[in-house]
Amino acid sequence: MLYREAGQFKSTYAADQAIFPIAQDRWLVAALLVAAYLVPPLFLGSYWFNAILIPFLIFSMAALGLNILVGYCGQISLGTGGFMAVGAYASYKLTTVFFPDLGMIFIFLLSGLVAAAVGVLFGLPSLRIKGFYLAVATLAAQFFLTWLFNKVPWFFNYNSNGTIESPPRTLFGSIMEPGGALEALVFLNPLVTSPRASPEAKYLFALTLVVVFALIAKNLVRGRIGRSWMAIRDMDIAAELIGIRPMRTKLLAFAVSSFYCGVAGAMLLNLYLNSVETQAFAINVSFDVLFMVIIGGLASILGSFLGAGFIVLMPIFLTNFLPAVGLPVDTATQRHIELMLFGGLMIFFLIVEPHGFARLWQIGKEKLRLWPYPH
Amino acid sequence: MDFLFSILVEPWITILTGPLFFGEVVIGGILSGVMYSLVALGFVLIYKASGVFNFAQGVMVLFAALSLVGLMERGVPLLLAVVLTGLIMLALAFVIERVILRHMVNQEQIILFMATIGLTYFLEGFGETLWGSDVKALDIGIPDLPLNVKGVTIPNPLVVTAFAGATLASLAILLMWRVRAARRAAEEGDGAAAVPVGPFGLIVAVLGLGLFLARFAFGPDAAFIQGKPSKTAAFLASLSWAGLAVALAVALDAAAIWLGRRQAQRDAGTLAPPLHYAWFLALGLAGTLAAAAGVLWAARSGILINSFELFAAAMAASLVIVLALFFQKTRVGRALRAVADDHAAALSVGISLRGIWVIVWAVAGLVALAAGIIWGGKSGVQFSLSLIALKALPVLILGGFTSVPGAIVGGLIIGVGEKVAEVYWGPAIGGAIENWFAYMLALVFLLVRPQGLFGEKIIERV
Repeated sequence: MLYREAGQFKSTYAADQAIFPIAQDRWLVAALLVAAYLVPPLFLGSYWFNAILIPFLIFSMAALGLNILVGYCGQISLGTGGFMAVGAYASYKLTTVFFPDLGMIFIFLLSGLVAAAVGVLFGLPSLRIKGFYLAVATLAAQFFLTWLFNKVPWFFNYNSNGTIESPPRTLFGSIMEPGGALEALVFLNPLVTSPRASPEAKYLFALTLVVVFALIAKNLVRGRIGRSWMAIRDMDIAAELIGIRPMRTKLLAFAVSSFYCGVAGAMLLNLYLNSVETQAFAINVSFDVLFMVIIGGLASILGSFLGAGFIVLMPIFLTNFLPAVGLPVDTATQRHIELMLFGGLMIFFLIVEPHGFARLWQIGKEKLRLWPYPH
Repeated sequence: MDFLFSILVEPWITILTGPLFFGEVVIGGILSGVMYSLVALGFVLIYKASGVFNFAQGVMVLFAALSLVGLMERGVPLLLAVVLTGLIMLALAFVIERVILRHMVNQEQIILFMATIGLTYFLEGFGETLWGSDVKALDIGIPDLPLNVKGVTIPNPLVVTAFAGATLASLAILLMWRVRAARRAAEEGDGAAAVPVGPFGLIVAVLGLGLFLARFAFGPDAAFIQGKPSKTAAFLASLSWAGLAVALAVALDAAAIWLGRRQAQRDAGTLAPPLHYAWFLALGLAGTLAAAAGVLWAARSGILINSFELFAAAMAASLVIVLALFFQKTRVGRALRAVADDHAAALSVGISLRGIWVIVWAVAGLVALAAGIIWGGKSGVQFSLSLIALKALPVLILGGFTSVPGAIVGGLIIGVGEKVAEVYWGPAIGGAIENWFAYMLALVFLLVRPQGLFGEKIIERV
């Protein structure tokens, strides 16, 4: 009844190719965006920002990146944690040593570029190997990179404890600070990193980044590049025969994917954790992000968000849920029960809908179209 | 320059000047490689029979070890506890098939892989809820002490014989493999693969031979005879020997390929007889000989060998032999091989896929139990036990996902390579390279041979 597209006519090509061709979808997304920008800063406390919303956004970003690689280009990667680490350590070196005056937004983009370069390097084996062989080969990136950042003191500026800390920096950097060229715009330039920054500023920054990059990703995957990725995914020899260069296409997918993961890593350091060790980018991060992509829906932008939401929120829910039910257990046992539930739910959702939440949403939309009539 | 020297030259000199210590490192590597092989074996069994990349193998090792220790803590004697744990693993296989696999038939591999990750989380939580999560010692009655066999005099010829035997057996296996591959290639009409020496091989051989001959051109190297060897001389000497080895390897390879082609030409039209059984026998033989040689050599030279590791190697070897017999000589084993070859064809001759899956998961569970006993006995039963799955992955891609001999050989290569790299190259580049070295080794290897050492040839059709 509500979700009915009868009477919506597309009379131009532009209207036909719109991201949301149905008016209801457009309204829903617009409303969601407005709500995302207005509701949390006005109504929610810092726990919401620091424990739920910001990690959700960061992992959405990482899942978007991995979905491009796994979902659209069909190259399974387990190196996500490593590429995120590259982004984080690059942002640290850039802010502390190379460009201390630069705004965070530029730092994030540069970190992403560094991660993209590393991603291309570790994507080279994909030209020879595929499937699970490739997945295991990308683990080399994971282990080598975390080892590198742990062992070579240059990466953490030779400090004694081996952790990197996010220094206080503003959004656009010194150019908009008093004395800079755009001094008049200083009100647009909030402090966004380090524990001193307000969680609202961090949240809005992260949200904007994710929205912009999700839009870019959506447009990438429905254009020529995305189609060549999908052709490679579906059958690389056939794709080669119709004139798609596998090397360029695969490496581009690795570059774009690592760019997203790198930005996510930089966000993890600067907007969420404030100080990290390589432990924060361990192998289970790679698995978590891969699972977000799969449970959310392979080759679906929406799915990346749904999957990230599931994986970020589920542990929080379980932690609060078990005591609420009144199970009198100690913390160790509670952690184990959480693990069991988490694993069990993973299996459950994979059995119920192996194509992920995005498919569930699609089925729901089909149902909504007809509702409340049976046909 | 110093750094380059410490990476490129220094380790070789250390190896050359201290061959005893090198031998000790290699033996240690072989023994830990055996343990990697055990874990990799579980992966291979399941992947072959059901196409599931079972990430939960590592946590199955943990679960088996936890159950075993838990039972023993409750006063069950060791042997009974092992049997009971075996039964638990059987039950687990049954439940996994019932609850998970049955509902996921025909799903994509990556979905199944994710389901096994879910299973990993679940089993970890389940095992630790059931048996507690503190570190436990697993005492299986074998002391984890150096076994000092110094002082036992062993006649010199015996050592030489044992060594030569082990080397020859390994060479024979490698040759057999190449002969078989060449023969199959010739039968399939793959001309390129049946050429004894390609241009690349020729270049490598000539270069190697040149390296070897070069040292004579520059005069006999007295570096090793007169006093302390100079570092450069030692390096050059080792380089030239390596050159000879490479040239010989290429020649042997060419001979093997030539032999395979001849065989194929002789009995054109007939299929190659299955060599699996001989394979396992040869492997077992080589392993036994190598172990014997190692012990004997150790006895002669006073190297300390850990009795526990010896036990582990023996256990792994016997497990491999039992598995080989099971696969080759029993009805169920034949069914398993049939399923591994072709699911649909196996179904059509009346083999129950579900039954096979239960069996293969149960076998993998028992292999996990064996690995759990060994690893648990060595380093205590704790969560980190499940992480050895990550060590088994490079072994897998090195040996090929579908090859049982590959898992064993790959395990040995990774074990030795890792130890040697850590001891000789580790200090130069910061240590703790064990974590990633195996992956890099496997990665470099994959670039040359994408399907792994023994994996099936990847044939792609559009």
